[in-house]
Amino acid sequence: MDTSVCRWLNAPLSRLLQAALVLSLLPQDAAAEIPLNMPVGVTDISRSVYDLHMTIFWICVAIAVVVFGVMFWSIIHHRKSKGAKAAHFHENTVVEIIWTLIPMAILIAMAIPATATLVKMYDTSDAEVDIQVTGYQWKWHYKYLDQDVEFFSNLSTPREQIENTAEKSEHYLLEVDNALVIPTGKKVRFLITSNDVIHSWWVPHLAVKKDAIPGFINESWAIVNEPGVYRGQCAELCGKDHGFMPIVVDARSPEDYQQWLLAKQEEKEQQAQQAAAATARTWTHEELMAEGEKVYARACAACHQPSGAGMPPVFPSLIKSPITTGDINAHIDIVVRGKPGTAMQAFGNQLTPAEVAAVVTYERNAWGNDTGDTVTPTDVQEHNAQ
Amino acid sequence: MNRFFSLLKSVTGAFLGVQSGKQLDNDAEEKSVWPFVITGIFMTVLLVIGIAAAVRIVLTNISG
Ligand code: HEC
Ligand SMILES: [Cu+2]
Repeated sequence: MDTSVCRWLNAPLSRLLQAALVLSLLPQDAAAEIPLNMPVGVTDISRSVYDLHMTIFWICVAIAVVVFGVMFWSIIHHRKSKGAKAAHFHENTVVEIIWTLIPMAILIAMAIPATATLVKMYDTSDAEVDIQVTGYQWKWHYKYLDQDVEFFSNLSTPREQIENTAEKSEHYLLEVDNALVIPTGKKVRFLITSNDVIHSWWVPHLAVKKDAIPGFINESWAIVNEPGVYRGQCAELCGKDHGFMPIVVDARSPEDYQQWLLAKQEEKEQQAQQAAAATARTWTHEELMAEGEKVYARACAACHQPSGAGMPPVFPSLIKSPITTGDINAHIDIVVRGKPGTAMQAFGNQLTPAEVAAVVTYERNAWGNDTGDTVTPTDVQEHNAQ
Repeated sequence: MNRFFSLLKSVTGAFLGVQSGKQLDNDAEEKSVWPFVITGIFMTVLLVIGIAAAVRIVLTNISG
Protein backbone atom coordinates (compact mmCIF):
# COMPACT_ATOMS: atom_id res chain seq x y z
CA MET A 1 0.00 0.00 0.00
CA ASP A 2 1.11 3.56 -0.71
CA THR A 3 2.87 4.78 2.42
CA SER A 4 1.41 8.29 2.23
CA VAL A 5 -2.07 6.80 2.31
CA CYS A 6 -0.96 4.74 5.26
CA ARG A 7 0.17 7.81 7.14
CA TRP A 8 -3.00 9.65 6.25
CA LEU A 9 -5.07 6.73 7.54
CA ASN A 10 -2.96 6.28 10.62
CA ALA A 11 -3.12 9.73 12.11
CA PRO A 12 -6.88 9.90 12.70
CA LEU A 13 -6.98 6.22 13.54
CA SER A 14 -4.41 6.47 16.30
CA ARG A 15 -6.14 9.54 17.66
CA LEU A 16 -9.40 7.62 17.71
CA LEU A 17 -7.73 4.74 19.54
CA GLN A 18 -6.24 7.14 22.06
CA ALA A 19 -9.64 8.68 22.67
CA ALA A 20 -11.19 5.24 23.13
CA LEU A 21 -8.42 4.34 25.55
CA VAL A 22 -8.95 7.53 27.58
CA LEU A 23 -12.70 6.88 27.71
CA SER A 24 -12.27 3.29 28.78
CA LEU A 25 -9.83 4.23 31.54
CA LEU A 26 -12.18 6.78 33.14
CA PRO A 27 -13.81 5.58 36.35
CA GLN A 28 -17.55 4.74 36.26
CA ASP A 29 -18.62 8.03 37.88
CA ALA A 30 -16.78 10.05 35.28
CA ALA A 31 -18.48 8.03 32.55
CA ALA A 32 -21.84 9.19 33.92
CA GLU A 33 -20.64 12.82 33.64
CA ILE A 34 -20.03 12.51 29.93
CA PRO A 35 -23.22 13.92 28.39
CA LEU A 36 -23.19 11.18 25.75
CA ASN A 37 -24.81 8.90 28.29
CA MET A 38 -28.23 9.29 29.87
CA PRO A 39 -28.30 11.00 33.29
CA VAL A 40 -28.54 8.99 36.49
CA GLY A 41 -31.20 11.42 37.58
CA VAL A 42 -32.46 12.37 41.00
CA THR A 43 -35.20 9.85 41.79
CA ASP A 44 -35.04 6.19 42.79
CA ILE A 45 -36.84 5.35 39.56
CA SER A 46 -34.42 7.30 37.39
CA ARG A 47 -31.55 5.51 39.12
CA SER A 48 -33.01 2.09 38.40
CA VAL A 49 -33.73 3.14 34.80
CA TYR A 50 -30.08 4.15 34.52
CA ASP A 51 -28.90 0.90 36.08
CA LEU A 52 -31.10 -1.10 33.70
CA HIS A 53 -29.70 0.84 30.79
CA MET A 54 -26.13 0.13 31.87
CA THR A 55 -26.81 -3.56 32.56
CA ILE A 56 -28.37 -4.03 29.15
CA PHE A 57 -25.63 -1.99 27.52
CA TRP A 58 -22.94 -4.29 28.99
CA ILE A 59 -24.91 -7.39 27.99
CA CYS A 60 -24.97 -6.00 24.44
CA VAL A 61 -21.23 -5.35 24.62
CA ALA A 62 -20.58 -8.92 25.79
CA ILE A 63 -22.75 -10.31 22.98
CA ALA A 64 -20.96 -8.15 20.44
CA VAL A 65 -17.54 -9.28 21.69
CA VAL A 66 -18.52 -12.96 21.50
CA VAL A 67 -20.30 -12.77 18.15
CA PHE A 68 -17.77 -10.57 16.38
CA GLY A 69 -14.93 -12.43 18.10
CA VAL A 70 -16.09 -15.73 16.66
CA MET A 71 -16.78 -14.13 13.31
CA PHE A 72 -13.40 -12.48 12.93
CA TRP A 73 -11.58 -15.46 14.36
CA SER A 74 -13.30 -17.66 11.74
CA ILE A 75 -12.56 -15.25 8.93
CA ILE A 76 -8.89 -15.15 9.83
CA HIS A 77 -8.36 -18.71 10.94
CA HIS A 78 -10.21 -20.31 8.04
CA ARG A 79 -8.93 -18.02 5.33
CA LYS A 80 -8.38 -19.28 1.80
CA SER A 81 -4.62 -18.61 1.82
CA LYS A 82 -4.32 -21.13 4.66
CA GLY A 83 -6.03 -23.63 2.39
CA ALA A 84 -9.40 -23.62 4.12
CA LYS A 85 -12.17 -25.46 2.28
CA ALA A 86 -15.75 -24.33 2.65
CA ALA A 87 -18.01 -26.92 4.28
CA HIS A 88 -21.13 -27.82 2.33
CA PHE A 89 -23.90 -28.77 4.69
CA HIS A 90 -27.43 -27.57 4.77
CA GLU A 91 -28.45 -27.33 8.37
CA ASN A 92 -27.67 -28.12 11.94
CA THR A 93 -30.87 -28.15 13.89
CA VAL A 94 -29.18 -28.45 17.26
CA VAL A 95 -26.99 -25.37 16.73
CA GLU A 96 -29.92 -23.44 15.31
CA ILE A 97 -32.09 -24.23 18.30
CA ILE A 98 -29.29 -23.23 20.66
CA TRP A 99 -28.74 -19.89 18.99
CA THR A 100 -32.46 -19.24 19.11
CA LEU A 101 -32.97 -20.25 22.72
CA ILE A 102 -29.95 -18.41 24.16
CA PRO A 103 -31.08 -14.96 22.92
CA MET A 104 -34.58 -15.82 24.14
CA ALA A 105 -33.21 -16.62 27.56
CA ILE A 106 -31.18 -13.38 27.58
CA LEU A 107 -34.27 -11.37 26.60
CA ILE A 108 -36.33 -12.94 29.35
CA ALA A 109 -33.53 -12.35 31.85
CA MET A 110 -33.49 -8.66 30.88
CA ALA A 111 -37.28 -8.45 30.96
CA ILE A 112 -37.44 -9.46 34.62
CA PRO A 113 -35.72 -6.37 36.14
CA ALA A 114 -37.21 -4.16 33.41
CA THR A 115 -40.73 -5.29 34.31
CA ALA A 116 -40.09 -4.71 37.99
CA THR A 117 -39.09 -1.09 37.24
CA LEU A 118 -41.98 -0.55 34.82
CA VAL A 119 -44.51 -1.74 37.35
CA LYS A 120 -43.11 0.76 39.86
CA MET A 121 -43.23 3.54 37.27
CA TYR A 122 -46.87 2.87 36.57
CA ASP A 123 -47.90 2.82 40.21
CA THR A 124 -49.32 6.33 40.56
CA SER A 125 -51.29 5.54 43.73
CA ASP A 126 -50.94 7.39 47.05
CA ALA A 127 -49.62 10.64 45.62
CA GLU A 128 -49.33 13.57 48.02
CA VAL A 129 -49.37 16.30 45.39
CA ASP A 130 -51.39 16.22 42.17
CA ILE A 131 -50.41 18.47 39.31
CA GLN A 132 -52.21 18.69 36.01
CA VAL A 133 -49.79 19.31 33.17
CA THR A 134 -51.30 20.60 29.93
CA GLY A 135 -49.37 21.06 26.70
CA TYR A 136 -50.17 24.08 24.55
CA GLN A 137 -48.64 25.23 21.30
CA TRP A 138 -45.98 26.18 22.61
CA LYS A 139 -45.92 26.37 26.36
CA TRP A 140 -46.93 24.31 29.37
CA HIS A 141 -49.70 24.93 31.84
CA TYR A 142 -49.46 23.64 35.40
CA LYS A 143 -52.39 23.33 37.75
CA TYR A 144 -51.94 22.26 41.37
CA LEU A 145 -55.14 20.35 41.79
CA ASP A 146 -55.86 20.83 45.46
CA GLN A 147 -54.12 24.19 45.91
CA ASP A 148 -55.96 26.60 43.63
CA VAL A 149 -52.69 27.51 41.97
CA GLU A 150 -52.23 27.44 38.22
CA PHE A 151 -50.01 29.18 35.71
CA PHE A 152 -48.44 29.02 32.29
CA SER A 153 -44.77 28.29 31.88
CA ASN A 154 -43.24 30.06 28.88
CA LEU A 155 -39.78 29.99 27.37
CA SER A 156 -37.82 32.92 28.83
CA THR A 157 -34.76 32.92 26.58
CA PRO A 158 -34.62 36.38 24.96
CA ARG A 159 -35.26 36.55 21.21
CA GLU A 160 -31.85 38.19 20.68
CA GLN A 161 -30.10 35.02 21.82
CA ILE A 162 -32.21 32.91 19.47
CA GLU A 163 -31.45 35.23 16.58
CA ASN A 164 -27.72 35.19 17.38
CA THR A 165 -27.47 38.89 18.10
CA ALA A 166 -26.72 38.28 21.77
CA GLU A 167 -24.50 35.78 23.53
CA LYS A 168 -26.32 32.58 24.47
CA SER A 169 -26.86 32.08 28.19
CA GLU A 170 -26.04 28.95 30.17
CA HIS A 171 -29.54 27.50 30.01
CA TYR A 172 -30.28 28.64 26.49
CA LEU A 173 -33.76 27.36 25.45
CA LEU A 174 -34.01 25.46 28.73
CA GLU A 175 -35.30 28.32 30.89
CA VAL A 176 -38.85 29.47 31.64
CA ASP A 177 -40.61 32.37 33.31
CA ASN A 178 -42.52 30.20 35.81
CA ALA A 179 -40.89 26.93 36.82
CA LEU A 180 -42.87 23.98 38.09
CA VAL A 181 -42.12 23.95 41.81
CA ILE A 182 -42.50 20.64 43.63
CA PRO A 183 -41.62 19.45 47.14
CA THR A 184 -38.76 17.02 47.69
CA GLY A 185 -39.35 13.66 49.33
CA LYS A 186 -43.04 13.60 48.43
CA LYS A 187 -44.79 11.60 45.77
CA VAL A 188 -45.89 14.06 43.11
CA ARG A 189 -48.32 12.80 40.51
CA PHE A 190 -48.42 14.39 37.08
CA LEU A 191 -51.69 14.21 35.13
CA ILE A 192 -50.58 14.95 31.62
CA THR A 193 -52.83 16.11 28.81
CA SER A 194 -52.90 18.58 25.93
CA ASN A 195 -55.00 21.46 24.71
CA ASP A 196 -54.23 21.09 21.02
CA VAL A 197 -51.83 18.60 19.43
CA ILE A 198 -49.78 15.78 20.94
CA HIS A 199 -46.87 16.97 23.07
CA SER A 200 -44.68 14.97 25.40
CA TRP A 201 -43.60 16.02 28.88
CA TRP A 202 -40.03 14.89 29.29
CA VAL A 203 -37.69 15.53 32.21
CA PRO A 204 -34.70 13.18 31.93
CA HIS A 205 -33.54 13.64 35.53
CA LEU A 206 -36.92 12.43 36.79
CA ALA A 207 -37.06 9.62 34.22
CA VAL A 208 -40.49 10.89 33.24
CA LYS A 209 -41.51 11.04 29.60
CA LYS A 210 -45.20 10.89 28.86
CA ASP A 211 -47.22 11.88 25.85
CA ALA A 212 -49.64 14.75 26.36
CA ILE A 213 -52.64 13.82 24.22
CA PRO A 214 -55.76 15.97 23.79
CA GLY A 215 -58.76 14.25 25.38
CA PHE A 216 -56.64 11.77 27.36
CA ILE A 217 -54.95 11.99 30.73
CA ASN A 218 -51.70 10.11 31.13
CA GLU A 219 -50.30 9.66 34.60
CA SER A 220 -46.78 9.63 35.85
CA TRP A 221 -45.06 10.41 39.13
CA ALA A 222 -41.79 11.28 40.81
CA ILE A 223 -40.29 11.53 44.26
CA VAL A 224 -37.34 13.88 43.97
CA ASN A 225 -34.77 13.21 46.66
CA GLU A 226 -32.59 16.31 46.38
CA PRO A 227 -33.60 19.95 45.97
CA GLY A 228 -32.48 21.29 42.63
CA VAL A 229 -33.51 22.56 39.22
CA TYR A 230 -34.08 19.93 36.56
CA ARG A 231 -34.66 20.78 32.94
CA GLY A 232 -36.51 19.05 30.15
CA GLN A 233 -38.22 19.59 26.83
CA CYS A 234 -41.25 18.72 24.80
CA ALA A 235 -40.39 15.39 23.17
CA GLU A 236 -43.10 15.07 20.55
CA LEU A 237 -42.84 17.14 17.39
CA CYS A 238 -45.73 19.57 17.84
CA GLY A 239 -45.25 22.27 15.26
CA LYS A 240 -43.19 25.35 14.59
CA ASP A 241 -41.98 26.12 18.11
CA HIS A 242 -41.65 22.56 19.36
CA GLY A 243 -38.06 23.33 20.39
CA PHE A 244 -39.16 26.43 22.32
CA MET A 245 -41.38 24.98 25.04
CA PRO A 246 -38.93 23.75 27.68
CA ILE A 247 -39.77 22.35 31.09
CA VAL A 248 -38.11 23.47 34.30
CA VAL A 249 -38.79 21.55 37.50
CA ASP A 250 -37.69 23.31 40.67
CA ALA A 251 -37.64 20.84 43.56
CA ARG A 252 -37.62 22.52 46.97
CA SER A 253 -37.75 21.31 50.54
CA PRO A 254 -41.35 20.84 51.78
CA GLU A 255 -41.07 24.03 53.89
CA ASP A 256 -39.85 26.13 50.96
CA TYR A 257 -42.54 24.57 48.81
CA GLN A 258 -45.25 25.59 51.29
CA GLN A 259 -43.86 29.12 51.33
CA TRP A 260 -43.81 29.23 47.58
CA LEU A 261 -47.43 28.02 47.46
CA LEU A 262 -48.51 30.78 49.86
CA ALA A 263 -46.62 33.39 47.86
CA LYS A 264 -48.19 32.09 44.67
CA GLN A 265 -51.68 32.28 46.16
CA GLU A 266 -51.03 35.84 47.32
CA GLU A 267 -49.65 36.74 43.94
CA LYS A 268 -52.80 35.37 42.37
CA GLU A 269 -54.97 37.62 44.53
CA GLN A 270 -52.80 40.60 43.70
CA GLN A 271 -53.02 39.82 40.03
CA ALA A 272 -56.79 39.51 40.26
CA GLN A 273 -56.93 42.91 41.97
CA GLN A 274 -54.63 44.43 39.36
CA ALA A 275 -56.70 42.92 36.57
CA ALA A 276 -59.88 44.28 38.12
CA ALA A 277 -58.30 47.72 38.49
CA ALA A 278 -57.05 47.60 34.89
CA THR A 279 -60.52 46.67 33.71
CA ALA A 280 -62.19 49.39 35.73
CA ARG A 281 -59.96 52.28 34.76
CA THR A 282 -60.27 54.22 31.52
CA TRP A 283 -57.67 53.66 28.86
CA THR A 284 -56.68 56.03 26.10
CA HIS A 285 -56.28 54.66 22.60
CA GLU A 286 -52.49 55.19 22.84
CA GLU A 287 -52.24 53.30 26.11
CA LEU A 288 -54.15 50.38 24.65
CA MET A 289 -51.90 50.35 21.58
CA ALA A 290 -48.74 50.36 23.71
CA GLU A 291 -50.01 47.59 26.00
CA GLY A 292 -51.40 45.67 23.02
CA GLU A 293 -48.05 45.65 21.27
CA LYS A 294 -46.48 44.05 24.35
CA VAL A 295 -49.23 41.46 24.71
CA TYR A 296 -49.04 40.69 21.01
CA ALA A 297 -45.28 40.10 21.13
CA ARG A 298 -45.66 37.81 24.11
CA ALA A 299 -48.78 35.82 23.23
CA CYS A 300 -49.46 36.06 19.51
CA ALA A 301 -46.28 36.80 17.54
CA ALA A 302 -45.06 33.18 17.65
CA CYS A 303 -47.78 32.30 15.15
CA HIS A 304 -49.00 35.52 13.56
CA GLN A 305 -45.42 36.91 13.43
CA PRO A 306 -44.28 40.32 14.71
CA SER A 307 -45.13 41.74 11.27
CA GLY A 308 -48.71 40.47 11.52
CA ALA A 309 -48.19 38.65 8.22
CA GLY A 310 -48.50 35.20 9.82
CA MET A 311 -47.28 32.12 7.98
CA PRO A 312 -50.07 31.26 5.56
CA PRO A 313 -51.62 28.82 5.14
CA VAL A 314 -50.86 27.56 8.68
CA PHE A 315 -51.13 30.83 10.61
CA PRO A 316 -53.25 33.44 8.83
CA SER A 317 -52.06 36.95 8.21
CA LEU A 318 -53.83 39.54 10.36
CA ILE A 319 -53.11 42.33 7.89
CA LYS A 320 -56.40 43.48 6.39
CA SER A 321 -57.86 40.10 7.30
CA PRO A 322 -61.65 39.64 7.42
CA ILE A 323 -61.81 39.51 11.21
CA THR A 324 -59.22 42.12 12.15
CA THR A 325 -60.84 44.67 9.90
CA GLY A 326 -64.41 43.38 10.23
CA ASP A 327 -66.86 42.91 13.08
CA ILE A 328 -65.30 43.87 16.45
CA ASN A 329 -67.32 41.28 18.33
CA ALA A 330 -66.10 38.48 16.09
CA HIS A 331 -62.55 39.69 16.70
CA ILE A 332 -62.95 39.70 20.49
CA ASP A 333 -64.67 36.34 20.26
CA ILE A 334 -61.90 34.53 18.39
CA VAL A 335 -59.31 35.86 20.85
CA VAL A 336 -61.34 35.00 23.97
CA ARG A 337 -62.74 31.65 22.85
CA GLY A 338 -60.23 30.65 20.19
CA LYS A 339 -61.25 28.45 17.31
CA PRO A 340 -61.63 24.83 18.44
CA GLY A 341 -59.74 22.35 16.33
CA THR A 342 -57.14 24.89 15.22
CA ALA A 343 -53.95 26.25 16.76
CA MET A 344 -55.89 29.42 17.61
CA GLN A 345 -56.37 28.72 21.32
CA ALA A 346 -58.79 30.39 23.72
CA PHE A 347 -56.93 33.29 25.31
CA GLY A 348 -59.82 34.14 27.65
CA ASN A 349 -58.15 32.28 30.52
CA GLN A 350 -54.64 33.43 29.62
CA LEU A 351 -55.17 37.17 29.27
CA THR A 352 -57.07 39.68 31.43
CA PRO A 353 -59.94 41.64 29.84
CA ALA A 354 -57.64 44.67 29.67
CA GLU A 355 -54.99 42.65 27.84
CA VAL A 356 -57.55 41.29 25.38
CA ALA A 357 -58.88 44.81 24.77
CA ALA A 358 -55.32 46.06 24.24
CA VAL A 359 -54.29 43.33 21.83
CA VAL A 360 -57.50 43.60 19.82
CA THR A 361 -57.10 47.36 19.60
CA TYR A 362 -53.50 46.86 18.54
CA GLU A 363 -54.37 44.33 15.83
CA ARG A 364 -57.11 46.56 14.45
CA ASN A 365 -54.74 49.48 14.03
CA ALA A 366 -51.26 48.07 13.46
CA TRP A 367 -49.68 47.09 10.12
CA GLY A 368 -51.89 49.51 8.17
CA ASN A 369 -55.14 47.95 9.41
CA ASP A 370 -55.98 51.51 10.55
CA THR A 371 -59.60 50.85 11.47
CA GLY A 372 -59.36 53.61 14.08
CA ASP A 373 -61.30 51.35 16.48
CA THR A 374 -60.70 51.43 20.21
CA VAL A 375 -61.76 48.33 22.16
CA THR A 376 -62.04 48.88 25.91
CA PRO A 377 -61.84 46.32 28.72
CA THR A 378 -65.52 47.00 29.33
CA ASP A 379 -66.31 45.92 25.76
CA VAL A 380 -64.48 42.67 26.42
CA GLN A 381 -66.29 42.13 29.72
CA GLU A 382 -69.64 42.77 28.09
CA HIS A 383 -68.74 40.32 25.35
CA ASN A 384 -67.69 37.69 27.91
CA ALA A 385 -70.95 38.14 29.80
CA GLN A 386 -72.99 37.32 26.72
CA MET B 1 -50.97 -39.64 17.71
CA ASN B 2 -47.69 -39.85 15.88
CA ARG B 3 -49.08 -37.62 13.17
CA PHE B 4 -50.29 -35.06 15.71
CA PHE B 5 -46.87 -35.02 17.34
CA SER B 6 -45.25 -34.43 13.97
CA LEU B 7 -47.61 -31.53 13.24
CA LEU B 8 -46.84 -30.03 16.63
CA LYS B 9 -43.14 -30.32 15.91
CA SER B 10 -43.53 -28.54 12.57
CA VAL B 11 -45.57 -25.69 14.03
CA THR B 12 -43.18 -25.27 16.97
CA GLY B 13 -40.34 -25.18 14.45
CA ALA B 14 -42.19 -22.45 12.56
CA PHE B 15 -42.70 -20.48 15.81
CA LEU B 16 -39.00 -20.64 16.62
CA GLY B 17 -37.91 -20.18 13.04
CA VAL B 18 -35.90 -23.43 13.07
CA GLN B 19 -36.82 -26.35 10.87
CA SER B 20 -34.95 -29.44 9.70
CA GLY B 21 -34.96 -30.74 6.14
CA LYS B 22 -36.13 -34.15 7.36
CA GLN B 23 -39.18 -32.63 9.06
CA LEU B 24 -39.91 -30.65 5.89
CA ASP B 25 -39.91 -33.85 3.81
CA ASN B 26 -42.15 -35.39 6.43
CA ASP B 27 -44.59 -32.49 6.17
CA ALA B 28 -44.71 -32.84 2.41
CA GLU B 29 -46.40 -36.21 2.95
CA GLU B 30 -49.51 -34.43 4.21
CA LYS B 31 -52.15 -34.15 1.47
CA SER B 32 -53.81 -30.99 2.79
CA VAL B 33 -52.74 -27.68 4.32
CA TRP B 34 -55.57 -27.68 6.88
CA PRO B 35 -53.93 -29.83 9.55
CA PHE B 36 -51.09 -27.21 9.68
CA VAL B 37 -53.49 -24.28 9.73
CA ILE B 38 -55.56 -25.78 12.53
CA THR B 39 -52.50 -26.77 14.58
CA GLY B 40 -51.08 -23.28 13.96
CA ILE B 41 -54.22 -21.57 15.25
CA PHE B 42 -54.32 -23.92 18.23
CA MET B 43 -50.72 -23.14 19.13
CA THR B 44 -51.28 -19.39 18.67
CA VAL B 45 -54.17 -19.51 21.10
CA LEU B 46 -51.98 -21.43 23.54
CA LEU B 47 -49.21 -18.84 23.14
CA VAL B 48 -51.59 -15.93 23.77
CA ILE B 49 -53.10 -17.63 26.81
CA GLY B 50 -49.60 -18.42 28.04
CA ILE B 51 -48.45 -14.80 27.72
CA ALA B 52 -51.63 -13.47 29.33
CA ALA B 53 -51.19 -15.91 32.21
CA ALA B 54 -47.52 -14.92 32.61
CA VAL B 55 -48.46 -11.22 32.73
CA ARG B 56 -51.20 -11.92 35.24
CA ILE B 57 -48.94 -13.94 37.49
CA VAL B 58 -46.21 -11.28 37.34
CA LEU B 59 -48.63 -8.44 38.07
CA THR B 60 -50.28 -10.14 41.03
CA ASN B 61 -46.90 -11.06 42.47
CA ILE B 62 -44.98 -7.81 42.01
CA SER B 63 -47.41 -5.02 42.68
CA GLY B 64 -49.00 -6.65 45.71
C1 HEC C 1 -50.36 28.72 18.28
C2 HEC C 1 -50.59 29.59 17.18
C3 HEC C 1 -51.41 30.86 17.41
C4 HEC C 1 -51.24 31.80 18.39
C5 HEC C 1 -50.23 31.82 19.53
C6 HEC C 1 -52.23 32.81 18.13
N1 HEC C 1 -52.97 32.49 17.02
FE1 HEC C 1 -54.47 33.60 16.21
N2 HEC C 1 -54.78 32.16 14.82
C7 HEC C 1 -54.07 30.99 14.71
C8 HEC C 1 -54.65 30.19 13.64
C9 HEC C 1 -54.17 28.82 13.19
C10 HEC C 1 -55.74 30.92 13.15
C11 HEC C 1 -56.71 30.51 12.03
C12 HEC C 1 -57.89 29.78 12.65
C13 HEC C 1 -58.84 29.33 11.57
O1 HEC C 1 -58.61 28.27 11.02
O2 HEC C 1 -59.77 30.11 11.31
C14 HEC C 1 -55.78 32.16 13.88
C15 HEC C 1 -56.69 33.17 13.65
C16 HEC C 1 -56.72 34.38 14.31
C17 HEC C 1 -57.57 35.49 13.98
C18 HEC C 1 -58.59 35.54 12.86
C19 HEC C 1 -57.91 36.04 11.61
C20 HEC C 1 -58.91 36.18 10.48
O3 HEC C 1 -59.17 37.32 10.11
O4 HEC C 1 -59.39 35.14 10.02
C21 HEC C 1 -57.30 36.48 14.87
C22 HEC C 1 -57.93 37.85 14.93
C23 HEC C 1 -56.26 35.99 15.75
N3 HEC C 1 -55.93 34.72 15.39
C24 HEC C 1 -55.74 36.71 16.79
C25 HEC C 1 -54.78 36.23 17.66
C26 HEC C 1 -54.34 36.93 18.84
C27 HEC C 1 -54.85 38.29 19.29
C28 HEC C 1 -53.41 36.15 19.42
C29 HEC C 1 -52.63 36.42 20.72
C30 HEC C 1 -53.37 36.75 21.87
C31 HEC C 1 -53.27 34.95 18.62
N4 HEC C 1 -54.13 35.03 17.56
C32 HEC C 1 -52.38 33.95 18.91
C33 HEC C 1 -52.98 30.61 15.45
C34 HEC C 1 -52.50 31.30 16.56
CU1 LIG D 1 -44.87 20.29 22.22
